[in-house]
Amino acid sequence: MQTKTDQLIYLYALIPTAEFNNAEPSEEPGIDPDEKLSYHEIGPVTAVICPVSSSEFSEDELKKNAENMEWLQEKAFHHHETMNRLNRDFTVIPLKFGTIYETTESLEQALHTKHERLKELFTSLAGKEEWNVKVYADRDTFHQTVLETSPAIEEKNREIENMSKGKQFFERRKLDQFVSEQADREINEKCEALHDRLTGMSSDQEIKKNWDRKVTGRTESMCFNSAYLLDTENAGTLIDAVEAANKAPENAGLTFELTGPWPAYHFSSLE
Amino acid sequence: MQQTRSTPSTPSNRPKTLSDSQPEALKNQDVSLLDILDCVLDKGVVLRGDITISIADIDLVYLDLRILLTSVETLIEASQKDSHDDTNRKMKEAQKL
Repeated sequence: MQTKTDQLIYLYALIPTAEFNNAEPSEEPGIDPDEKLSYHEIGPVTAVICPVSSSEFSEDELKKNAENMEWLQEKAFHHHETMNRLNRDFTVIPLKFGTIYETTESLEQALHTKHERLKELFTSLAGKEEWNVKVYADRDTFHQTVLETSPAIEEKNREIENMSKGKQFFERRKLDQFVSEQADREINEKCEALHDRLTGMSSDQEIKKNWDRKVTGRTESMCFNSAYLLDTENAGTLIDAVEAANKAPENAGLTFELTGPWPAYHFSSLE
Repeated sequence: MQQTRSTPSTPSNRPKTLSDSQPEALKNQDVSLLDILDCVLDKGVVLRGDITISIADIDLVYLDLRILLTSVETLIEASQKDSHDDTNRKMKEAQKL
């Protein structure tokens, strides 16, 4: 047993040792800029780690530091950048930011108990990449789109025209509300339809929480947030599908934003 | 390697927001800090107060250090009171079934 020191182990990623053996390790900077990335072989799995100081990464310190936007930006970006580099060369199980072990022994123990899951993950992630989609709605523009293109609105208008004059007056006043509800329905339908298409190209998918407008800092509201895992060679089809959604006139007012390729952050749960 | 919808054919489209510490600078970037945090943090991002973004509930159950940062489920729920967002949340819940 190693005694507790002020050093902790920051874990970035797990890669198959078989792949790592074929590659030249590089002298890359760690999340602590005074340290280097190192590759710790544990049988078939190689852990990409960096020693960090408990004065910066202990539970309490990490909690405090994560509220410092500048620190969080720098460290989260380093994590992300390092992962991107690894992801170019290896099949990577990316860990979340702030994954820390007390000692390499405890890391080894933890990985031993996850042996089967790791094998499974390396198989499901090989040759795959992750893409994220976020859909934003400019409601004013989209309401206009619905007014002009929606068959439901057209039908409603016809219904109203066939009514008595008195009834028409009241129904027209309610039309705004109807358009607004119809717009909400169509936004959901369109997001679901795209999601179904993208899911069909993917081996896995996840629907995430929408971000609040205060977080995104945008005037449009986020109405869909999802992640997809798919074969690298399918990425072009996915990009085309999202492009098509953006260009469709009946989607005017909706923005479909695609980012990627990402390491498989959403599909690497060790549980 | 990160690409966005608007420029899918530019392979050198790397995230470039991180040198700017102004949250305003995060908007309209190819891959924003928020996109990155949404991936690398376990439960995504939330707003605290008016300006600060905080890590939400990093759930590392299998680790030595159970690093449980600000629990924000309630915050997220509160921010979804907005009826549009509420509709979307229901839709997503329905899809999860």
